Amino acid sequence: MTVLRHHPWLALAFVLALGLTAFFGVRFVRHAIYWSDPAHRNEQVAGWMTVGYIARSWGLDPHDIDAEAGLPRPDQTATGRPMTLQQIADERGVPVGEVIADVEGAIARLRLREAAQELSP
Amino acid sequence: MTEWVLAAVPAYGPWLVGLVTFLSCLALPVPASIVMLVAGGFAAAGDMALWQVALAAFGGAVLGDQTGFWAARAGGAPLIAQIAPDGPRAAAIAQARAWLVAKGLLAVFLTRWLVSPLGPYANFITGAAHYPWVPFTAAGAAGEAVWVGIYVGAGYALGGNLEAATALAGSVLGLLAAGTVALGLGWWLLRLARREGGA
Repeated sequence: MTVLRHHPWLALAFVLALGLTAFFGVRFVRHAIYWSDPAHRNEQVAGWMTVGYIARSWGLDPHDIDAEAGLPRPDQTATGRPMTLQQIADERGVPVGEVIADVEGAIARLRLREAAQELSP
Repeated sequence: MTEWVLAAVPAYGPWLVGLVTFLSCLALPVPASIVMLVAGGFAAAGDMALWQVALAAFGGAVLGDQTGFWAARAGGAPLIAQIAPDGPRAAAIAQARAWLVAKGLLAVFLTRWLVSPLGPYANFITGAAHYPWVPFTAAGAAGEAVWVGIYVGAGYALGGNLEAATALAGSVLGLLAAGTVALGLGWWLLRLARREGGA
């Protein structure tokens, strides 16, 4: 290992780079473990999201959310494409906050129902 | 602006993703990484096809690189002088130019994803310096594939949580960057050890 003594700065840089690699490796694994729990993924509902995106985030069935919140299913929209909550609000002529509240209420009710089903034998 | 772009992703689909990566490769301030993360999330939710998102992002980026490269080749040195008349940016570009001449292939590859903010300038400089087209395109496309893969992949893997996907992409980028440097330095040390051992 005389080469390390002959080139101390290079050796130091190498050790630093190894340390950083280990740091990011550990961070990656910790994130992967933390976010693999679906309960840690729930993202605040926003106007740019589609119901599919929200369903994926909250671990629910998008059709359940559509039915519960009284929203159009993606195959029943005018464009035939999934719509964002903002687009749904624009089409109805209501503020987007109203649609977001509908979806949040639907999520809460679906969650409650899920919990009740788990408790009942 | 970001909120507006995010809302446009499901409405305009892969075309918008391609447009955003195209513009970002021309040094325009568009939120390319966030759009790729979100498009990956929409793909995971089934609102968009993953292959279309990845292909659009990749195609837009490669097209943007080519546009910058050929524009600079046609416009040549005056364009660079216009981008960076003087000040710290000029010094940074002069440094980048020296680096490019020596390590062109690696520089083009790494400025796609590892230090992606420098990517557009690398295109302009290689183009203006008449760097050969085939190695530029090969290294550029390989680098863009890594860039798109990390961001769309992280968005897809953690579909439905932007914060988590951003953190994941950051970790992967950091891991790859530090790992590449460690490998390079290790290789350098190994070569020195062999040379000194043989002498």
